[in-house]
Amino acid sequence: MKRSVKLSSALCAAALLATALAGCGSSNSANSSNAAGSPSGTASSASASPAAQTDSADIPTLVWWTIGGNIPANFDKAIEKMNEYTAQKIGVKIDIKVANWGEWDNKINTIVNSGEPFDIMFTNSSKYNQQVAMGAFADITDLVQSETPDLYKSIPQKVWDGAKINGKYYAVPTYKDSAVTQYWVFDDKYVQKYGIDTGKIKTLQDLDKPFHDMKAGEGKNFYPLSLTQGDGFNGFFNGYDDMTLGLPPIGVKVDDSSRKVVSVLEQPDIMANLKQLHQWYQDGIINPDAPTKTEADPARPFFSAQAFPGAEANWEITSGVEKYDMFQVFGPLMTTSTIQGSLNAISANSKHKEEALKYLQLVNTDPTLRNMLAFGEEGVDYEKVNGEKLVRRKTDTWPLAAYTQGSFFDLAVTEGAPEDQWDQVKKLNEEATSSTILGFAMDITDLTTEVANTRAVWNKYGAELITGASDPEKVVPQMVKELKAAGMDKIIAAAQQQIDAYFKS
Amino acid sequence: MAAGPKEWTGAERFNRIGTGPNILLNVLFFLLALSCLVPVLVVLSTSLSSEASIRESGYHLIPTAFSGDAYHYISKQGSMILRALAVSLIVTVSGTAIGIVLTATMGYALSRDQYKLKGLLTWIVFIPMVFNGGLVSSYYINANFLGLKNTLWALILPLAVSSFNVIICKTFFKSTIPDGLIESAEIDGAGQFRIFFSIVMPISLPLIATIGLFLCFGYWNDWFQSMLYIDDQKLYSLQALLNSLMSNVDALAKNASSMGVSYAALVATMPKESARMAVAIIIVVPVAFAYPFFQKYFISGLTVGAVKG
Amino acid sequence: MKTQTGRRRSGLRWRKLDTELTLLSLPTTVWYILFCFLPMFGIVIAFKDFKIYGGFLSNVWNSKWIGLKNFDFLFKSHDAWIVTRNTLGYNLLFIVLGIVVPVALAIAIGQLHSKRAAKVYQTMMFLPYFLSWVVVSAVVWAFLSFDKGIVNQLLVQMGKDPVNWYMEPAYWPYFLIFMNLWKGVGYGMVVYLATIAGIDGSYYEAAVIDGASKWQQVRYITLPLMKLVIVMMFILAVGRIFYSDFGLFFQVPRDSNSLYNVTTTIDVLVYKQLKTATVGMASASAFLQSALGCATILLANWIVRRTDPDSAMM
Repeated sequence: MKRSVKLSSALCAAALLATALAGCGSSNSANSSNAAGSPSGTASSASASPAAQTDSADIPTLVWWTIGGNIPANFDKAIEKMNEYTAQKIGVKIDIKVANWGEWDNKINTIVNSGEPFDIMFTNSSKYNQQVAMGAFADITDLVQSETPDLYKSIPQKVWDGAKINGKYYAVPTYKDSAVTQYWVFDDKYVQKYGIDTGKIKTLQDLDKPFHDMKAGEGKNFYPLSLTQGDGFNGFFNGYDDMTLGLPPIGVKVDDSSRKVVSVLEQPDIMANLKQLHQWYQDGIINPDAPTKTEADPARPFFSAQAFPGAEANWEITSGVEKYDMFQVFGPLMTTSTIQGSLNAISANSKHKEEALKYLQLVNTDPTLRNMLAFGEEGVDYEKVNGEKLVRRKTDTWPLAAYTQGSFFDLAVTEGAPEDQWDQVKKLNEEATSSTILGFAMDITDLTTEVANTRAVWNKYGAELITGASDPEKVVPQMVKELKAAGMDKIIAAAQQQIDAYFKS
Repeated sequence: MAAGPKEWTGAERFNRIGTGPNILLNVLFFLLALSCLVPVLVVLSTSLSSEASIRESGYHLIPTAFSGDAYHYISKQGSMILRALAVSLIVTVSGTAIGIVLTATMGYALSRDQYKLKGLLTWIVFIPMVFNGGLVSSYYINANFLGLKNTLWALILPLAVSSFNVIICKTFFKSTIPDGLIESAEIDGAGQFRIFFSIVMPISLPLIATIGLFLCFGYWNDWFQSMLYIDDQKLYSLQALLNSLMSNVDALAKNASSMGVSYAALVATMPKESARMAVAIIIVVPVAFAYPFFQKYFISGLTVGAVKG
Repeated sequence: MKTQTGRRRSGLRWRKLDTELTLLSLPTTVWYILFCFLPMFGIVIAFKDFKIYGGFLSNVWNSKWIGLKNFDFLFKSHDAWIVTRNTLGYNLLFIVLGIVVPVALAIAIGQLHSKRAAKVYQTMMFLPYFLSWVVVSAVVWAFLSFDKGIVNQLLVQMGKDPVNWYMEPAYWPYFLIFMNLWKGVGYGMVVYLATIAGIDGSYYEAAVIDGASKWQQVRYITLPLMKLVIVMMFILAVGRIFYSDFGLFFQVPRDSNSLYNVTTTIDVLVYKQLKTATVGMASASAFLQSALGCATILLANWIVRRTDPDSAMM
């Protein structure tokens, strides 16, 4: 009898404890959710009240979902400082919600599908097309030109074209290193030791001799070309525009004026390169566990990456290698996919579409806001070295990534990188050639089954193919057979039809 | 009757297996236990190794080069981790308590054959085991309809009851509570509440310990609820925090190509292999200490011949 | 010793007992309604072309009905057969081993002379349960990695060649079965230990007096008294025969192409295909697994009810 009384009172006590402390939890969050406000609540008038009046009842707080890391302790404070600034400048405040790198995929799908209110959302080529097809985003084509002409003009037409779906803009593309420029990078130590002439290296085959020299000199357990599962040889399919499908086997050759959609794996240039990779795998140039290795070694003798001038300084610091020799091998090229590396869209159900655009305009044109957003709390996370043009970072805990937010061209250069870094990037953008199908994004609403199943085939064989582990002469025919069975031809035909119709006008 | 006898007594002495078989069994269990322990030791060892040594010489049972870096990195996040730990503790303790009450009451009601609504409730319990409305509609109900978003309740309530546990309770009650016991109480005029709380529960300690164990560790291990319902990272549970640390690195590694140069700088700030293993240790250790507490409630299962009551 | 089935005895009158039991189980019933039955309307998403119109309810209401179109991709998949075979095959083995092994170990551990040793062993065997699959996959990598793994280091020390484990499918069915057991056996033992704890000691005393051997005791006392629990665990496991442990089949093999044919199950296939596909398709595959699982569990329960009515779950 006694024991049972003890038991039940213990359970009751625990339940009470739960109530009390859950109350604590919600009052903590109540503070932050009050700050967030819900867009449906506050000032519903179309244009935000400008200038001096800081009556907080009239200043809407927009919700911006983005991707990033773990939130540091001073996050709220930094956002507050930003809000003070923007409330005074354009009468808008922001509540930034961060989905972590690992959970972004799932979490954003849930937020969008469940109809949870938001105003601005970061997205990229992996989701943009599909989210627009679902009707999640607002058509801002007219709005951005009429309400925020500065924003519209700050981004070149070519880059806007990358955000077009069916001829309309559904997001603000982020103007950064929007063209892909591929660099191959050697650890200088090996360049010196083996007399590698990087000026002469233009194609994959040109790398053969240097790699073999390095292997012969360094020994059995040395792998000149260290690859990983997800990446393979970075930039391998650069020559083919994937129409934002994200399926390497289907694409259009970027300089093909006839815009023919082809089965990429069967193209002679791709096949020759795949064979080269396989040869290297067998010769021990590539690490044998590449198809299952998920993380790259920090200090590699050679790697391939998309970059811009000055990047090697960054790499040298983070990897501990003394000097990197990098040389350009491809590009700069703009495709719809490269532009869609980062976009910020406005929710179709947002009650503050103009305010949201005005906020994005400020981000893309005002260096003060831009730096706060990219680096954190001034004085704590970074300090100005030369106005808003050059900064020194003091912490590495700021969770937001600059490339997800807005233009690089009102952003400060960080100490250690070349001072004209952004000018050089801009130059690359302006020199960039465009893919012949720039502006075209494929509509897959009737092809969901085929896309899902072809993706499954690519997943099944892809990793070993792009790391050279499997023999392309055997695997590619097998893959193509399965791809066709999964509906690849249907996708190609539909894509061709859409392209022809799109470019006829 | 919480703990069983520490040594064999009485009739059991005659019921023991021989020395030979005892040795064999001991060897068997020793090997099994070792196979369970060794991986944990590898995790521990990796967490104490210097990052450079992992890169050069790989993984070992005993670190080749000791380094406290990983734990140092974690302690830098100190306040975040302590807070997450507090959240986990609160959620686990209250969730387990609530869960036990909800589960056992339903299990008991289902175990009573004369109960008119037994069939209906059985279906109510059974159907969610096979059908569920999907992630998005659950999210909608919990977050928007019930308003649990960003509260600790979102971490506690959805996990409080599992049909699996209810059925375990029902089966246990049915098979081990003698009908005579309940009937005589009913004849004496006791109501079902009294019977349940005063008679049935006190003799069902092994069951409560079992369900408590499952619930407790279900809550402790959960990170998914935090990920879905908590935007304010201050309310993250420990597992959620640690899981996000680990999955972030994975995600960055896999999406390297779409991020170009920004990637290298970002990755440099991520915790390394040893730190991730340290995180795993922090999760396992409290649990390993808590477990013996539960164990003594069904330890008598380890003694064939314990007398109930 | 058991009384007859209650119904007949108590008649069809609503008694005080019924009211009290209803009140007792009411909080739980409310829980089920709120957290399980309310969200169930989401099942309909599997049959709709889901689009955003506003809030969630209007999304569900306004989206177009497209019948079975969302299920297409499952049936047209080239690997549907392999993947189903893997799922069912592994699960059958897991179900059998997942009952036989923990039951045997639970009974055996009670026979050890030293109770303290038994407690220690059992605690250790419980440890793997707490390591998430992400961590376990990192541990497996620590053992099987080509150049840094412990196994290959040992092989090299013994003068043999290192093996690229992640690209050799032949070993993996055994690995996976072992890993599944390894992670779950401590946990599974708990249920059975608790059941054994509930067995009245006097049965054993009587048996000893009658001169029964250990074996006979197990066969005639322990196992029969565990029957109810074992059958219940069996039925529950069978109901999940179309589901698989995602962490085991996706994270541990690290998505290796070579291992595709022996490690891909339905859940893994769907996950890989659906990374950017529609919520309708995701719902469709979940619905299919649910429907199949429901059918199997009902079938299993029916079979059990025919042979031994008291053991059936429903």
